[in-house]
Amino acid sequence: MSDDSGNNTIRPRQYAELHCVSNFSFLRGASHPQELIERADQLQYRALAITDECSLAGVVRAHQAIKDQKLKTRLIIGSEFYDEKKRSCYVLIAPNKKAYSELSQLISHCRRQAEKGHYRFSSQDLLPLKHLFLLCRPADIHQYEEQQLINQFYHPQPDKNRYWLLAERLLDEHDSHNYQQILQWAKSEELPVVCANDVHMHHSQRKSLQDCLTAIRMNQTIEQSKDRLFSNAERQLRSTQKLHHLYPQELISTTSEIADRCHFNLDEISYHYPEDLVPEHQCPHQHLKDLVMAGARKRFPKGIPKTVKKTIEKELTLIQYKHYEHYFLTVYDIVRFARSQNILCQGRGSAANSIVCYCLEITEVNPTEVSLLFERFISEERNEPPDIDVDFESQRREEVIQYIYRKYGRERAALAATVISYRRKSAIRDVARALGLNLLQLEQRIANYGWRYHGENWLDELLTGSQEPGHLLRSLKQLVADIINFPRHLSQHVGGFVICEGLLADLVPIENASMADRTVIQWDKEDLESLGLMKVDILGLGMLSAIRRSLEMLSTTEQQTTLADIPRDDPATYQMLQRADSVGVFQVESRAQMNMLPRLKPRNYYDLVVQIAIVRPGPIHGDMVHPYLKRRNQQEAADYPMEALRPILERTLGIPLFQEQVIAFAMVAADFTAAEADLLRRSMASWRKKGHMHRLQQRLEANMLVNGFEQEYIRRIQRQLEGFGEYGFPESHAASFALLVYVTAWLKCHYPNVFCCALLNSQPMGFYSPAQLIEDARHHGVKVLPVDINHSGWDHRIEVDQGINKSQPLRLGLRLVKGFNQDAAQRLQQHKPENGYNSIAECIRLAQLNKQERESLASAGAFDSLSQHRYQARWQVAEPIQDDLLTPLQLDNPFSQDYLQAPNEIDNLQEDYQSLGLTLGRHPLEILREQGKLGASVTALGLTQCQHNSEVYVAGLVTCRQRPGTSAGVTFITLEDETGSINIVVWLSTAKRQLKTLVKSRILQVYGKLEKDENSGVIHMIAYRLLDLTDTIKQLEITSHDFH
Amino acid sequence: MNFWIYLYFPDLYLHSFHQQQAGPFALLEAQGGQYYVCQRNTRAADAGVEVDMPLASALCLCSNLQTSLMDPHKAEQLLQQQALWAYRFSAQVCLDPPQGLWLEAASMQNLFGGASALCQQIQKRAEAYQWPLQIALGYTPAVAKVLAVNNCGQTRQWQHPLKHQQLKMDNQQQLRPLSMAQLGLAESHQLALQRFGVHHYHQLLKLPLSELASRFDSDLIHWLMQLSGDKPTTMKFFQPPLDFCDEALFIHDVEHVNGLLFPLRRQLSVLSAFLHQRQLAIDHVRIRLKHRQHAGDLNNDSHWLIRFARAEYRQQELTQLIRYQLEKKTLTAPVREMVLQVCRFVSQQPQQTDYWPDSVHCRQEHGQQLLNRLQARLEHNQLFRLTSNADARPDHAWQALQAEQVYPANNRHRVTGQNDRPLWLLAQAIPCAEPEHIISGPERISSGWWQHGEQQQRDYYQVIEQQKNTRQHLWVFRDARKQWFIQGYFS
Repeated sequence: MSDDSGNNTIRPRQYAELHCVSNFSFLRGASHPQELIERADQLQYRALAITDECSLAGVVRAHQAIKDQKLKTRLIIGSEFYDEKKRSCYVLIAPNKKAYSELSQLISHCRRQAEKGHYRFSSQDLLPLKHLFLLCRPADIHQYEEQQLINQFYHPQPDKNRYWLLAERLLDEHDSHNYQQILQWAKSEELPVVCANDVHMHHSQRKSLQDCLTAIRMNQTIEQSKDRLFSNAERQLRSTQKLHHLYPQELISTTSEIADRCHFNLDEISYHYPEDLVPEHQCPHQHLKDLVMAGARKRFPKGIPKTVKKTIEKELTLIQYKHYEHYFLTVYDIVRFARSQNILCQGRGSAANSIVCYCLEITEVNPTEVSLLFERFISEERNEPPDIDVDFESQRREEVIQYIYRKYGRERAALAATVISYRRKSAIRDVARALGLNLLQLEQRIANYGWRYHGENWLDELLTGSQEPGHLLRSLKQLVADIINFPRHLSQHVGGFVICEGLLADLVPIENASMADRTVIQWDKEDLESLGLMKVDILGLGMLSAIRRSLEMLSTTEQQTTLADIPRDDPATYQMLQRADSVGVFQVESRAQMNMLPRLKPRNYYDLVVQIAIVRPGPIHGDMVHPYLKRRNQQEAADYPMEALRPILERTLGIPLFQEQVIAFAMVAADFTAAEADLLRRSMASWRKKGHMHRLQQRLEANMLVNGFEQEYIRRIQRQLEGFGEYGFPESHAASFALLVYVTAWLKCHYPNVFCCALLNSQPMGFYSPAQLIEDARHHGVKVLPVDINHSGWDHRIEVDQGINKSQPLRLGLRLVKGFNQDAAQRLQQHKPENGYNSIAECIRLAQLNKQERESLASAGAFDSLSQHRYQARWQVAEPIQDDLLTPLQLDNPFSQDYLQAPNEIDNLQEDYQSLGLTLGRHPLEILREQGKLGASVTALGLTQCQHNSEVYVAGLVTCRQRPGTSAGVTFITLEDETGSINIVVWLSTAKRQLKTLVKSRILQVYGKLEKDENSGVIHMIAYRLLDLTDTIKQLEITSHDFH
Repeated sequence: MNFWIYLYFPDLYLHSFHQQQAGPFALLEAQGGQYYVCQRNTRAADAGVEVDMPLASALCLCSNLQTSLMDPHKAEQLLQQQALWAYRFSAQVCLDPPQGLWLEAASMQNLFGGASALCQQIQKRAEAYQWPLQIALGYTPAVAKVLAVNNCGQTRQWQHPLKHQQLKMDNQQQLRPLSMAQLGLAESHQLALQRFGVHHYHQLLKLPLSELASRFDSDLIHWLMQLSGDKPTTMKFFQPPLDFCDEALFIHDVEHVNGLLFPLRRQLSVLSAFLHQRQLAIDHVRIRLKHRQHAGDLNNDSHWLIRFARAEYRQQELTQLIRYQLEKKTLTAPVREMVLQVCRFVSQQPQQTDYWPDSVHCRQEHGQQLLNRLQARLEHNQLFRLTSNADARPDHAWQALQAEQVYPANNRHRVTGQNDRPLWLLAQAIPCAEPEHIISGPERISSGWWQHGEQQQRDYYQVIEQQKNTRQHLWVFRDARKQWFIQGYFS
């Protein structure tokens, strides 16, 4: 056997591998690009060409690995293509920037012609190429197409030649024939030849994974796909010793000659910001400055304060230094468009909290009011790209996206990709299927495994006691460990747009997304960041729709109400939040947030910033919440582990809560350099995915120990970092969100009818169902009127007589009626007689409603004012309409009432829930209580009178079941009765004992112990026993948020 | 007038599993890559597992749930078995997959002494097999089904002879309180009726059919008409499986095998005619020889199973094949009766008339005949065929199949270059010395890690071995321990 070891004393750095696919040739390549380049460097390769199949998706990672680890092996960019029958292989490599653009264009061309994940290629596509090198393994060189390629690419002068035959010794059953054939062609046709190894893995150990990937690709077991498996592991990066053994020196030398002619480096990609937005003959900086100053005058009509002027100058200088003018101008342009269309939007992110963004109206957060410093988020030293995410009303985000496409063209703007990778469960399922294991048994194990609380040996734990043969289990473990984080396919990023000055396809290939008319580039967010390409996040936020609707309702014909008109620091609003009266309020409406509100008692804007960020995995994992609350409630004094940390931690009383603080903390307390801090920030986003975080963690620990920190404190900081990795939520984002929290809370506090109406019209969104929102509004004294054919439009509305006020009733709209549509609602409105419809027949005739529309309205009770009861209405409308002028309409059939009984209260309740998802009648719990079905259960309101630690019964509709990842197996249930909501805590042991009742009950009675926190007034019950009362009202339909 | 018994076997498939002291158990169906519960036992139901529940939810509720995939073919077979059993009670049995049967009862009531006695008999016989069975008598097939599925007909006592009108009245009474779901209406119909306030059959009866017909699709109306008997139910009648059995009684005991041949020829002629008529063929016959009973012998019959490598139906060929086989057998005792039995049939391959005696079809035909005759001459496990598969390892790339085995579906070959592989591959490689004259190689094979966890690593070479006056062209390999072996011989 030839020696496979890395012993390569023979002429190092003489060989360049020119044909190598990474795992971005999905389900073919068995190594990450980073692994390939690292191994190539170990083997002292001169260069490595990553030539994924019609793709450049993996190259940035290899490029970044070279930079991070300062590797000597150079990266060559290329791509391989196969003809339709997979007989001829063409490897293209890019010697220079022009060639790179050609390659990117070619890939885009091939990908755009095929559906997502595929490409269409013919050798004719290669003929127009002027710069790329072609390494070719033709099926038959004498074919016309091949001769055409030779004519196009081959040049007898070596330095002008761009054509080589590809000789690859793979030592398989075809090896000797193929190899000899290529050499013979080279001789007979007088063509140059180069060797390569069709590399699919960085090391032969990945052979089993490569086989497994093949089986997954074929959707078969390995046993079934044997004809597709490679017969050996020779498609690896071979040692130089072995290469010299296999190939003559001449072929090896040719690899280095070609490599030396390839100068292209990805850093050469000079990204040009779009210039469209700068008027001719004006420099971008001046233009931005003009816009900012104009905005500042608008923002500060009484004169721009000196401090603001100074800050603007400072920020503009920094922007100029970093050349970010175009970025700000682009975001400004998008936001300006949204405003012109009355689409509400709000910027957030590191750069968004600047006075510049405030003046450009990208954000409404006034940095002077909240003392958020721009430099805190963006600085000269740190090499971060500017980060502004802009949230738009989710219902109208598409308009903004289409504007971008219109303005810049599809050739200059595209969405970034998201790489979908193997996670634990998908890895186990796919590998097990390939190995032919019993999938049913495996599903059982997967379902029973506590995924949230897994240890390092999770796979061993998962497979303990499995009956499968030992060697297959060993293979499974190894393969799963290897395949996790392998890319599986590219998907589109939620809203990250890349816009450039020239053709985007010159920089990066563009391919089709699964959504019609959407294109994505082949790089993801991290790749773009590595190469410094600009990305603007165009995100959707349902709450902005609700706010815009509220503001519209509050506006009069003379006076438009805007966000800026909402008074700041309103005490009533904060008092409401302190009572956890926050159903519907942005971000703080969840159960966990509601528990925190009375403890944290927010009094000002910055408290809201903290409130949003504190109920997150980061601070919770780091055990930072309770120390912070103690200090805030003055039960403990603020102190600082190091005096140098005071500026960083002062605003959170010495406790690090935000991601930015922890990064700054690492720089001060663990002596991290700016570059290391930058790496820490990037690694945090993929904490669980990548190994190099471990190195940073060790360094953090070592340096903090030296600086005198206690082991326990270090451990907490590390766990906090892990938490941020799971769900990072930086201060810069919280700051923008906090404004929306305040605005929505203010609306709820002062106009609960308007706010509820806007929320209902913006559904689906938020945490609560329309039923819960309406129930809450009614508890706040809002009068809610039922759906009515003569009074309801499509949207819900406030029945206004003169000027808006909180006592005006909310009329439910037809959008609540299940099975009804907006078009029919418009017809109803359009044809409505002046005095309204007089009969069902008239309504149906005029509005031309179809059967489903008619029946939906009847069941929802919309015809109640025109008929005796809804069953009768439904019977009437169910009869088909004879579309014949001579046949009289017989809808008002008089005898139908004889055989249909009028619905009773329970029937009406059921119909309401089925047609509308809610009832305006009595609460079901009230009916059950009245009928004595709830025994001695105390109401939600009654609980406030009960003693702490008393044991009581409660009952209610289950409106929410939640088992958050941070709760160590505790399930939280929210019950709703006629007086309000009750929070139930179910410990794991109780849950396991009564799992069926816990999971399936829709009406639940709970016996348990009442816990009351006197300071905050928070009440919850620890469940001892659960009792399913669902059968008491059968088939009651109510939606419940179940989060498991 | 007819009336019908419906036999409803709840969770028929589930009960085909041996479940004594079984824990929670559920049967699953795969839909769109997801598994759903389709039947579950009481232990699983107690834990909250429900029909149509996704497997993940079921496992969440019941972590020790045992599962098995439902096989639709087996389900069909199970119902066929039940139908075969029920055939003893009625001449007209109809299948109602997946777990119901209709039995025509009017014509059978006299035989069994009344409808009630018939039902009781069925119930009693079923109990012996421990099948859960719900049984009901209905004046229409649809009514019988609804009553049986809802278990409304178990304890009824009917007078004999049962009058159709009486049964109808009684049935209607039983149906009245049933809900729309119990009537077996489609969910959309249930929901639509519920929205008129119609929850039970008696409420539905109040609505004029013509009014209903103008508001509902024909499915509901047809079902209601089937319940009332105004429209017949479409039924699939059960045919018991085919069986061939021919007995030959001998006046004088036959003492030698040759003596069996003559009567056998007659039996085979009948069998061949039977096969011709039905366009069937057979791949085996069973011969049962009843010997002269001696005192103290309880059952000394001989049973011979004679297999063919290929299905056959022609009398001459069958006789020939069986004669070959019989020649190898000896009688243990004189025979007084011979029974020829066949219970499994396959369809006949269409006969082609070829004018060209050398055509492919003719050659295949001859090949088949040869195989059958070889099979008849040799022992059962002496005849094999070779087949190749796509394994990269030469010693795993072919396998021997027994003559009657079929080639594996989707059997694929690995494409290898011409002259790269010798025709004669050894099943077990022979150790040899390091070769001196290597012609070509190496071909490296490292594969098979998924079998027994051992990866085969070999370098193969073509070599010439000179021995005295002979030159042998060999295919040899060197393994990971650097030892040499002969794998095959080139011609």
